[in-house]
Amino acid sequence: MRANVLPDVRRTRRAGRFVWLSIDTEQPRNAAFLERFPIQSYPTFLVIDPRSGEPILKWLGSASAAQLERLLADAQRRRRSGPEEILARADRAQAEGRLDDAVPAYLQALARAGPRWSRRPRAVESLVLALSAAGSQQACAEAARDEARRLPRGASFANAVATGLGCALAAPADALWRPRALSTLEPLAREAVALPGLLADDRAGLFDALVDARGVAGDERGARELARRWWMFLEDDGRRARTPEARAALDGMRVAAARACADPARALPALEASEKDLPADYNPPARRAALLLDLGRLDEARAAVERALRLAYGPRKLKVYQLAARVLERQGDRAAQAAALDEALAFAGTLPAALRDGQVLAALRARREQLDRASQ
Amino acid sequence: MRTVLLSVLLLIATPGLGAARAPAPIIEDDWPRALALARAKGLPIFVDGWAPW
Repeated sequence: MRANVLPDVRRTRRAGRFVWLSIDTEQPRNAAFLERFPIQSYPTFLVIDPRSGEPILKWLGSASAAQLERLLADAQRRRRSGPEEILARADRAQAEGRLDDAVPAYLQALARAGPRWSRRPRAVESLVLALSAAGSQQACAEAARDEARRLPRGASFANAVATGLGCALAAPADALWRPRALSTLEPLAREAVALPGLLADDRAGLFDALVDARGVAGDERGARELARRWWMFLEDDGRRARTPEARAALDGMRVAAARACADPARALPALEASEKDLPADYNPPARRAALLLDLGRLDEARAAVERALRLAYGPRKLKVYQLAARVLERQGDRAAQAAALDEALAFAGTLPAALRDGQVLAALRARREQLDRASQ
Repeated sequence: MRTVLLSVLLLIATPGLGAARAPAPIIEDDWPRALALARAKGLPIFVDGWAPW
């Protein structure tokens, strides 16, 4: 998004009617902003009213240049009535984190507007995202299933289906509603992944969910075949990328696809290129370390994770410490593992509260205590 | 011929028609500055919240 879509949107006529702010959510200097406007998924786009300081629109996840331009237009629209007014109310509730108000308002807007409403795809996408953000997995999957299949085939359809399928996959395996949701959403996702004009992030995300869905169905051969197609798509995307940043944007997906192909080594050359082209970025060495650990190449994994730790910052650095501890554990170096965990806990203490990930912190503490117990 | 050439030159020089528009400036990691600028100009703030991974 940052490398491919935003530069284009910032060149549009409408872009000049906004003040543009980029917030790296890992940077401690943004703690005050993040306390006021919590961000849990990436990317998140917000439009904030400068007079009240309140958010008027919030968008979770990727968006094409055309979608973002429409969101900017929505944020500027002053005179509204009927479903447009209800949609704006839903957007505001969603932006303020009042998901219990946002969801019924999106539903009300959809019901009031009827099936031919031009804003319907966007409203359905927002509804499904709001349900996902609220952790309502069943409602999210069912809204995607019931609403998305009636949408015109485009970016909103693809995003609603991907989000709904993600909700179904994240649900407990014994949830009674899950098999039906999966069996109806998976064909829609197959349709979506083949649509022309999708953002590369969205297409890669759809492949990811489809591979998972085949895995859940116990269809190993089908999962492997989809993983192969996913990898081919990523290779093609890498060849087309205009800049190293644009190519590296899908490196995380390359790692996941290589693992899904049961061939982690195939992603190493791309990560090596990213590390060379983007020497200040901790992600390429951290991803190399993770794959080298998969491959049992432990000395190389240790060297890579040490390079990553020298560059990492913010809450994500804790995850890099976790990875380092796993590498050191596999090497049997208990002293170094304990030192890495201690360093991680000390570093966590320096992070502002808004940037601290409670789950990661709890896992680090538990692992450190386990080590202590084992040595007694 | 001259008229055609002039039209082409005008097209290239007209923002949004032929010439590439300069991107709107973006403020990096500075909420107080963005808020102050937005209040001074009476413009809403568009925020891209991202993570480097």
